[in-house]
Amino acid sequence: MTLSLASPRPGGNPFEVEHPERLSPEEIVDLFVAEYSGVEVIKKRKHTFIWGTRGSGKSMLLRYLEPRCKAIVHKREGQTWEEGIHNFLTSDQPFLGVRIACKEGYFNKSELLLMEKPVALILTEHMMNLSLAASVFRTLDEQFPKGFLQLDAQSMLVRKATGLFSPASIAGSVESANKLVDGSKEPLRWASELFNAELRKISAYLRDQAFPHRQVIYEGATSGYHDFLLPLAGYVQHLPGLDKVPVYFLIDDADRLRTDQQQIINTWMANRDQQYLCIKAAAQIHEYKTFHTRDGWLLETPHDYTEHSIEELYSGHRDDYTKKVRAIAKKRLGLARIDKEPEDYLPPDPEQDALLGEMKKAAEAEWEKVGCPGRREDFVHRYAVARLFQELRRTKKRRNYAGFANLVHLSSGVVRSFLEPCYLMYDNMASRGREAEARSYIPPNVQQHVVFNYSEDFILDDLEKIRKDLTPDKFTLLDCLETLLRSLSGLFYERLTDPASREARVFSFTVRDKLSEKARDVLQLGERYRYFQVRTYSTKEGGGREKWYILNRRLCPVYKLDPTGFEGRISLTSSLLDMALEDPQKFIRLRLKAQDTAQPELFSLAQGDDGA
Amino acid sequence: MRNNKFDFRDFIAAGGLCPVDGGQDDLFVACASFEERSRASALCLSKSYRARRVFLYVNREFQDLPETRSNIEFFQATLKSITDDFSGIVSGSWERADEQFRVLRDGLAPAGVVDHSKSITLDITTFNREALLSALAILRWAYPRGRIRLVHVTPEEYNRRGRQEFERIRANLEKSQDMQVPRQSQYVWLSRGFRKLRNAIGFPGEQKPLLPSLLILLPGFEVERALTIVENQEPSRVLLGRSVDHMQDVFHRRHLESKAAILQLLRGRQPVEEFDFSCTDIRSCEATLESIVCRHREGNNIFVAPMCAKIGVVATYLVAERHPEVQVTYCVPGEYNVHDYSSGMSMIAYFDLPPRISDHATT
Repeated sequence: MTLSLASPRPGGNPFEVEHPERLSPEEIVDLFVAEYSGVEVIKKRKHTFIWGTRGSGKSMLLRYLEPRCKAIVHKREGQTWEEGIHNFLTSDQPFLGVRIACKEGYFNKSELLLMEKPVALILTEHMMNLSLAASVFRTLDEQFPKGFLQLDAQSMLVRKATGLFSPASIAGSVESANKLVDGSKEPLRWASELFNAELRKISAYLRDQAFPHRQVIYEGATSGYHDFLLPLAGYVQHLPGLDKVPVYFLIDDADRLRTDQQQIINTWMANRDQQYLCIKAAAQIHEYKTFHTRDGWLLETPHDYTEHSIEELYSGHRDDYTKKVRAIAKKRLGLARIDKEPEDYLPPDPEQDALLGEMKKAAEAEWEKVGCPGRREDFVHRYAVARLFQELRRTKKRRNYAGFANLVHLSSGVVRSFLEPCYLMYDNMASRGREAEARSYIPPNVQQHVVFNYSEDFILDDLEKIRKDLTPDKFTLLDCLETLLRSLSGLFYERLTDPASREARVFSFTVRDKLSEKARDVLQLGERYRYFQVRTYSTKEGGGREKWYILNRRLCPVYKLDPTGFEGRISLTSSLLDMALEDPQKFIRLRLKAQDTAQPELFSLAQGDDGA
Repeated sequence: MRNNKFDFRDFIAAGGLCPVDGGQDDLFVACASFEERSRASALCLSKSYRARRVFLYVNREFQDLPETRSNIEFFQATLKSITDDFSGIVSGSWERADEQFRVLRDGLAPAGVVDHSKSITLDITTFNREALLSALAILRWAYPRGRIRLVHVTPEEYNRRGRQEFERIRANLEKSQDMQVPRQSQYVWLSRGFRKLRNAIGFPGEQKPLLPSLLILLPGFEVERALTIVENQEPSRVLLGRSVDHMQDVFHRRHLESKAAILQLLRGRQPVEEFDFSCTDIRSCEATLESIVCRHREGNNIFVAPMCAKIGVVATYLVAERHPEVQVTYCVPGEYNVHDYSSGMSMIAYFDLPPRISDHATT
């Protein structure tokens, strides 16, 4: 058996990945960059949804909130993690983070389809409660120093928790736990095994009711929120040493639950018992299918929950995102014993970098020539890169997207989209016998080769993959999305490479009037598969906020666009957007005409810094 | 567990398939699909073959395809002559796990558990993998003392038309020196897309909270479907199988190409380890899986996704039957290449599963 990948290690690929589940608390703390991660928002005593696509770092974030990681973070110089736990619990916002994963197949089991829906729901909630309970006890047992909780207190907690069930209903599981662990010596481990045995009982029941030998009766316990989860959290809070520390249930991959199972989580949140327990649910927003509770109430923010979007950091605070990625890259390079700054390790193409320098000087001269409008830095920032693209078009050369800053932009707010191409760059060199060189830096041509393929995969392979996910009646929508991407990228490219363009680096758009049904469906599809990121902005006319669509920067290399562009947004009429879904040439032609003749009814340009 | 392999034509010439115990089988089970080899088991029955009851399953999503209709007609004509109890075809749904399972359960075990010896022939050739897992689980539950013989026929070729078309286009483009050669996967494919990932009914596994998840993936020829499982399961580690053999060398090469493509695409995203397994020998494949499960079960929640040839699916079934903690995962594709999946019949293999409960054991 050959190990292909592992976590970053001395001498290895600095961008190797390891699943957070496999990392030790020490490794989590080593690798996690807390700054700009949203930890400050999430650790507040409120129910929270944490939104992020795959690879955006949700699981890492939740693991970072577990007690032992918090203890490591809070230990002072010369202290052990055991001492750190005291520091954390006496800090201004202590909590007990208990994590469960809802991976595919953990709770949404096919056997539930064979049962009546109300019965399936009761069993599902019980399964979730048992998983949380098993995690509570395992967390208390493994993530606190030995002796932190007195044996008497542990036993008392276990007695109270098991007392929430009738003894007869858990008798079999008690027996199973007794076989594995001496409850008088290790009560927390014993309780964890007890709840695991109860979970096994449910699995066995699910199997048996699919193959009924005779009438199959579920003989285990059942539990709900008010009769189990809430009192359990209360008991935990009263443990000596954990005085009134709320329990945070960290529910990872909540998007993997079925709709009715997500309603269970929503119902827990709707109870607003934050003084005892908080739900922190991490999910992909488009896969979280409902905000309704089981009783049909709609969960509302900010009354019922707050939310944190991991990718918002990029679209809302790009500098912070760059700092975060730099810190991650720096940590990873350090762990791989590569003593380089990320900018030096991933240098830009020297020729194009020099050309950009020339364009900056030219832009400075241009600023003076046109009467010094605004600040010189802003003028140079606005026009130098555009002039570079114009020069590249004139000389029929492609933009080289090498360089740390470009790679950060191309990742469009998803850390994995930065790490993955970097991994492939290193791997590309190692596989060609150039590992020694790769330990010094990644040459720009290798960077360019990898990011171009990465971009091409997104537009060629991924669109094809999506097509296969859709039913044939939706194929038209996908074709329209592909056309829309060509229309928009064509438009943005024309603007970018037009020397007369005032706002050349426009990269996003809004729609002024009511979307057609088709356009709405296409935009939803594009948003779901991350071809667009969506923000909102306040309308000048008042009356609320409107959607603002930003192209995914991973598309830039294929469409020859500037990934750093973010200035302003084009406002389109819905009829023009409909045209963009059908005919890129006509759309772009009209745009050029509109610019020449300043037809404001077709286009208008707004500054891009008023989004939220 | 015997493991016999023969050239398909030689096998027919030598007399064909006889009942399990010489007399007559209690049950003959097959699945009619869009593949030509779907009718192979009926084709190769010996002249004296008889079964007390016959159960013919079809997925209704494919039932009206001309290829399937033709196979159904052939089955109906042939099977009527070998039994007095053939009530016709029973259709389930490939998309709906619960319906598929119920239909199979009602059809295969109408009387529930039968606690005496039975001889059963199950043609596993063109059952989709999930239906096969269900069929095996139902038969082993309903007939614990049953001797089940599994019959499997490999095709001569997969994607014959697509491969020819791709070669023709490539040759033309090479002549015209056009560099835009299309991707082979546009023409040579078995299934595409993704509808759903789910556990096969009867194999929910037992997951312990906080344990990392481990996916044992037995790949076949379907790269994208295997990647979809990994993407949706997000296991903390993948054990990727590398077949050491196949019924034909050409299939083995294709498997290795697919496995290499999966490995390449997972790099940078996912920790992966590789292991060797057999695609021709159930016992060997079962032993491999057994050893992996035993090694990892204490510290992991284990998922097995058999995407490989049916022999690997049966081996997975046998291991999961012994290890209720293992979840068997199935990925429902977007579509099958129904008009160009496979062609011809090349080899036939049959395997006997011993009774789950022997006559000497007590229940």
